[in-house]
Amino acid sequence: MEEYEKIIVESDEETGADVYNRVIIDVLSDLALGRVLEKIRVYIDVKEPVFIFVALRRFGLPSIRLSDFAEVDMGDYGKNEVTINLLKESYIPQLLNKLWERYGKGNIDHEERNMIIVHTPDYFTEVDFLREMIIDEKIAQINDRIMDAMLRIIPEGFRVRYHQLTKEYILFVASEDPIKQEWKNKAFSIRNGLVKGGKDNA
Amino acid sequence: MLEPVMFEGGVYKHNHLVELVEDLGGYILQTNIMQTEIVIIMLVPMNDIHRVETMTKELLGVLTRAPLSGTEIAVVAPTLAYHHLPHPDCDIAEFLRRKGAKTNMIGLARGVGARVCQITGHERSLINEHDLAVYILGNFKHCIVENKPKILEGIEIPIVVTGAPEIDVEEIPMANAYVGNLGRIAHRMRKGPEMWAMDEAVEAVSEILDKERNEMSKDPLCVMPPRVKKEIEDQIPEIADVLSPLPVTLKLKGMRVKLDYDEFHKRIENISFVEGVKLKDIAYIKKGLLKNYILVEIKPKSETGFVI
Repeated sequence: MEEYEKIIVESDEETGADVYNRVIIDVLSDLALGRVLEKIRVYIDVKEPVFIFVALRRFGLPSIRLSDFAEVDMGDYGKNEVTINLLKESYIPQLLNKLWERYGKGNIDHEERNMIIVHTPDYFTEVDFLREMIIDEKIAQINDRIMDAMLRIIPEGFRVRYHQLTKEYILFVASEDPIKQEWKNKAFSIRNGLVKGGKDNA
Repeated sequence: MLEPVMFEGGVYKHNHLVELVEDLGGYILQTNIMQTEIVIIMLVPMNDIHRVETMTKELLGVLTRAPLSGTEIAVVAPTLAYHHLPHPDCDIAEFLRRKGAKTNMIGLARGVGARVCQITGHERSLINEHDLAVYILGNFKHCIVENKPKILEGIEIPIVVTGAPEIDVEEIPMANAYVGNLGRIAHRMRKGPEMWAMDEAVEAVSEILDKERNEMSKDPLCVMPPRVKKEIEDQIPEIADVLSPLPVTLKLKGMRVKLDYDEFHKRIENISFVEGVKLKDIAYIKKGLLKNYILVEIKPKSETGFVI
């Protein structure tokens, strides 16, 4: 049944493991990460000392592209411009920042609330580029939150760290001494069991 | 013998209680007014406590014993990072304050980790300015027993250590008491076992301080600290303008006066008593490490030969 448990903390000291389980639950719920991480396995050896954290991730929300909330077209005949007709206002600040960065403030007209005009000589190719432009990257925000959670969970003095963060899992080894290969191997074996188990259960 | 008690009630007519305590020869240590509510911590002569109880009933307030009144306690955390604050450090400090103590939270610069943890001489001296230190440590026995005693070294005041596992106090060198079930957590402590553990910590602190007081009664101080506090308030009007909480913070064997040492120490030394002595005759006046405040250490009877 152990493989179905969401969080398992393994340590020589039972009390310490129980309390750490609670710390992980608190930190993940504070950062609203409870649904992002599917399974968590932690190994703590205070005598070494080492802290290993491996978690299987759920697939998050996809990134938001410009075409998801706006109609992008070339301007009228003879005008070097691309028109963006916004259907939703929520992403305007991020969109404007990206457009200013790419084309310069002088080339962006935002006179009407729902219409942005981009002046560019390459309007023919830029229109396709703009349709696929990623405006809001949910995955980046979630990655930031995961790293924040990691730093809150690991013991504060463990400042030598090794980590892997992929779409599938997060692996974190922390200690106050240089990271040993055997600790990494231990983390990899936990990860391999988890990724395999995760797939089997899926 | 004075009994430390705490009155909690309404602001209305609370001055009657203050006057009664002063008439009985007691002292008001602290008053906290929160809108229409007031908390008064005071010392009342043991024989007259029933009068204060009767007055409290008339004012529809509650009178409880505050065994930690007149003590300054250092709550020491390995650092002041979010790993330790606000829970459990602030929760434990709050429980100590509820029993009348003045708490100062001290975060060490490099107190974290197992092998790498350390404490500086400055931090040691700062902690030694208090009556007692409560060290709030973590979740693993090995760490508390083997590594953390390094940050207890050189502390001359009693030490209470808290942590998650159950440990015999004998196993932690230099600690006077150990309280379990209070490890590193990330939520506010509000469940039964957590509250009991904090009560246990307060009890451990009270027991140690009671023992200290008993030891002191064998060679009493030549003046009671609350009396010096009253004289300072009467003779140095600037103390009324100090915005820090508790401008004169009482300690077991003296007090911390929250005025600049360089500017005020001469005037503090020359505080006079009706018996004809000056404060400098019966106390050491020192410069504290905390913001240049003035530390007053009252001499015991064995040193001066008299009690006033």
